[in-house]
Amino acid sequence: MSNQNLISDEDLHAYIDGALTEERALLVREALAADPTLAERAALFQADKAMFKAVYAPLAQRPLPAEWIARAQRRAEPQTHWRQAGAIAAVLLVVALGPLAWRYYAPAPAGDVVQIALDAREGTPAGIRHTVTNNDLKTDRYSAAIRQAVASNVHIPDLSRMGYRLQGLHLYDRAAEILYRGPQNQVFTLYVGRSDGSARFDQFERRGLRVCIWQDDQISTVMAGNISAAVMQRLATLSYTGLTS
Amino acid sequence: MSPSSAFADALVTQLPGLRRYAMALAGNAALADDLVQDCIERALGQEAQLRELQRLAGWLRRILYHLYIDEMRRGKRRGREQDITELADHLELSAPAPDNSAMREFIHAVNRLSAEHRQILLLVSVEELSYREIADELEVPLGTVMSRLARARERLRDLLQSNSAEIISLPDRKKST
Repeated sequence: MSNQNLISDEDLHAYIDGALTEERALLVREALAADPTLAERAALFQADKAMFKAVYAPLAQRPLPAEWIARAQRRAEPQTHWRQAGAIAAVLLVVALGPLAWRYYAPAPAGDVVQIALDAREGTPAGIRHTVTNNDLKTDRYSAAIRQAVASNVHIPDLSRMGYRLQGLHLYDRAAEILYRGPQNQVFTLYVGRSDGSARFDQFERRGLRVCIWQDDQISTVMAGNISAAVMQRLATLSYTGLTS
Repeated sequence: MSPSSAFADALVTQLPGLRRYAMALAGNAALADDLVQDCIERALGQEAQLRELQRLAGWLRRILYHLYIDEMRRGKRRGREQDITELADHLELSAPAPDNSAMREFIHAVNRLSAEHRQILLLVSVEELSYREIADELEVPLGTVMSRLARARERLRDLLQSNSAEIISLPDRKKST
């Protein structure tokens, strides 16, 4: 027992972790107020807990080896599609380049797909063909429309396991923008267009948004949102695999 | 989407957290990556044993923990302590980090804990699981979670205090000749 036979060590730690009932937590609070030594001990345990998180939590933000992602995906698709292999090669290249690949990039040249995608996100650009609301998106009809627009066999990705709900779709002549809303109501956009034939994979900040471009020799995807690099990494993986599954 | 495809997507989504868990548990980046790779293979081979996809994170952590224990039992490799400069490189995206010497002492102390104590401290402090979730994941009673956690924190505190004591202790007095 830690204090006047009132609270146990287990109670003290459960209090630190917010796992006590309010009645029991009140007893611990009273004990802490009455016993400076116990209060100091509790503060040290709380500091250790905070240190644990400060030291180890950021490790989840390290870029993953591309071969891990490829290995997991080979299970879902036994014969790796040549297009995905190209994209995976692009990921490998970025990983090999290390920190340089994660730097903030200079403004893109006019006509760059990133610029086009961000323009699309910021407004309703000329050339929009069709806007679809969430309810209509439950049909396969719009996956077919996207396939026609980008001339590739793609599907609307399901990002619900990360708390992102499908909100709408903008169709253009040769591209589509799929809109999602996240757990904090933030907008995440997935722009899909036709590729210029080169492989690209990159993540950076532009116009105050976290942006990821993932391009193979058939499709070009640009993902944007006001999110962290780690969340973008996971969303980009889900989006690209969902599109091409 | 086929079940395997859903499983693969969910598995990829869990990998950053799984790798963090492995690094903290093993205290060694190279061993952690080997463990994650083995865990991916094991998970893909045992997909049918996972009853609910929502439990994937805990299921993966269990597999990884057992792989780590097996590795330690075989005694082929001991976890090299994570170099503080290497670890600091991974903290660049985090909030302002504690100073390096405090972090170094902390990692040193954590790596001297038993695997069981490191595991429970990680689950509550980094993974932020509730006691009930930890009990389910470790397949132990709730009371065991509470007592194990209390002992783990006490042990960590002892190690941190002994580290501090080592730092401020005076050198042995030379014998007079």
